[in-house]
Amino acid sequence: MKIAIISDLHSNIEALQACLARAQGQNVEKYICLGDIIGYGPDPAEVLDIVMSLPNVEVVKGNHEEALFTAYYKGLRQHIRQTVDWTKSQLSASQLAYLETLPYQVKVGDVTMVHASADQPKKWPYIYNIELATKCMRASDSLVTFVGHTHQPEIFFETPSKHIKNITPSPGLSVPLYAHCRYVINVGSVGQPRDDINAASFVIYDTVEREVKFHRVAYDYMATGKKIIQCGLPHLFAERLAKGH
Amino acid sequence: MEEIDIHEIELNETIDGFHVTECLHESQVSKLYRVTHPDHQLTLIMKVPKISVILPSSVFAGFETEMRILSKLRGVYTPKIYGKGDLASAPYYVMEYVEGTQLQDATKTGPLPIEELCKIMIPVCKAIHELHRHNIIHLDLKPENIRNRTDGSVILLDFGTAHQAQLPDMYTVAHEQQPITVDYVAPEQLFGVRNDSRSDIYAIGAMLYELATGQPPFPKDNMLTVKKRLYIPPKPPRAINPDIPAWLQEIILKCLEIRPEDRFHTAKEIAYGLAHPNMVTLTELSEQTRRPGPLTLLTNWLGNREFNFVHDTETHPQQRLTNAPHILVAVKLIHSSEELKFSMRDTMLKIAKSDKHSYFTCLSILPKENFSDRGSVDEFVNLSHPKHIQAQAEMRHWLEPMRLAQSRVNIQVFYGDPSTEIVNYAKQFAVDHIIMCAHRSEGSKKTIGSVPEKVIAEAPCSVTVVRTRQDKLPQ
Repeated sequence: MKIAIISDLHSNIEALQACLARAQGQNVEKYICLGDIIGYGPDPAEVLDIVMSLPNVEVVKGNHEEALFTAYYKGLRQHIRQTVDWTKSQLSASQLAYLETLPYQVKVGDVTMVHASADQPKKWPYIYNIELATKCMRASDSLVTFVGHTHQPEIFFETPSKHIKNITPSPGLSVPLYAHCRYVINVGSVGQPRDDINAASFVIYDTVEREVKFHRVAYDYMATGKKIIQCGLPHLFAERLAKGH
Repeated sequence: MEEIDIHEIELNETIDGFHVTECLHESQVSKLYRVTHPDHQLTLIMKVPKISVILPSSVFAGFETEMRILSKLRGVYTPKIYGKGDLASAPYYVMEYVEGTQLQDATKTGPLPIEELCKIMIPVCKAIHELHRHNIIHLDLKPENIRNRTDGSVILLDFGTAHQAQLPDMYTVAHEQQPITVDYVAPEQLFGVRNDSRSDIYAIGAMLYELATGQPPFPKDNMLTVKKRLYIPPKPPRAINPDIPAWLQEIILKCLEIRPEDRFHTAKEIAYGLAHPNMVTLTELSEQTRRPGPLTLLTNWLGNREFNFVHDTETHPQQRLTNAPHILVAVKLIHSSEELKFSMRDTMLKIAKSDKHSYFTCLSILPKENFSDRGSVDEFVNLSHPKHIQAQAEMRHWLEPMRLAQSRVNIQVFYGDPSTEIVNYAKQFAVDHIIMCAHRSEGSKKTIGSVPEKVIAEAPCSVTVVRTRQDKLPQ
């Protein structure tokens, strides 16, 4: 079975639709969303509706969902709090209820899905180095853990001699997941990539071949950027889409 | 690593329809069994890792790497796969039995006649080139890992330590004992470099050396002394076997250069040299009669340190191949206008400048009827027939303004149907790009001519058709 794993959609409907069109062409049967469906972007309600309607979808909570309901909000910078407030005003009561009850982590088959890290998922650590990836591997009860949060596609893997290495995956290249090795796979961001590439990122996991393929999908970021500005959200968020960081 | 519960397949067992009948070979880490299957009449071999010995270790990852590479290459230059087991519960794979050991036998029989050596090694080089084209570096090439099917096609075996560019490499070189074969291992591999396809070029050189001289390049080396090759080059092959021609010594020693950047970039360049000895540019390598003196060895010893071999930036094999493209230029000088000849040369020159390692075969194809009054084609090809010489001279004259190094241009005169000859040559020598001129016969409605159309349809690579501007002057 092919599973599309999307993360950090950030209310970007243009990017999401482009990714879903790509996924549909690849015979994907199941979707997993690693959180941060909302925040930063101009279409939170529409994006959430699409996510909820995906076939066999499973969703975990991201820190932007957390910010809607908990004291995590207070620790955010002013311009991000402004976006959280605006986003909350755009969502229906049922949508808010759905987001509030999302789990922090799910296990799908023999892989674990979490927004930030399997190590203290509620503290939202960023896995940006091998040390943090190691902590995630040790905390996960699966050999393969998919994460998002940093908005940067990356594969951390443990060799049989217990050394952790990382690679930046090339789009379109199938990467095998070895049977007895551990992985932390960051799928990148659909709605706000931060690796200097302004194309949406997601992963298709083939459970039969045990392979992951990273996809980069071009989308109309100018349209999203204009809507961000029209909604009165910080211009910075529109600029980030164009720059890809 | 959590507890592992994996079944190791044994003799007389039947799994997924494969019945294990006989143990053919047992190494430290795996067993090879003969198996039968009701759906297959072929002789089949099952490879099974020895679970108790190899887990948890890189060898198991090596088994999986090998299985995945063999599946990916689908039996073109590797054994065909007929079945595989679940790696997490009962790992195995079943492959065709490839009987021929032509190369291994040849290394045992002493120096080979040059013609025989080329006949064996040209297909081997092409197989290795194909491997690199798929971004795979073998890293343990040796005669026992190269076999032949009964139709003569070359089959590469044992990908347990292979590296796949752009994919996670399960070896942590500094911490794991990688098996190396002393006779064929490249200097940079001794520092743990696993991402340079030119390590395989070194192994080709070592095999050529062995076939040409009857002994490996460093016959006395062992695991303790192998690092000597970081500063001592091998004894020149002609010092061992004076019958070896200078061009072959040039090829062998260029493959065996200590630093990868001094070797051939691609295996197909070696195949090309073996097939076209007159195109091999002879340097001082071809003239060497003994190893360099103590001063050079001292310079090598001081200069060839780890940092010279270990680089942060990785060039994938595919990239390396595209950096050294083989271009076939098919030009019909007799019937071409000066304008068209200029355009062809201009196109060729642009490629020559942008890809500094590119090399060209310029093909002139004469119709067979040109010499029907003078004897057979074969006789004509080998002889200094005036029309043959004239065709070569015209090509040389046409090429002259470009001032390309002689080693980058090879002139060939072929006879027969142009499109067939062009496509055959492109397939035989893994040409990367064909440049040819448009030729529209009078009265024909075809835009570029029937020959280019056929070449475009059948060529294994990109084809550029050069034509002059077709605009008509206003009346």
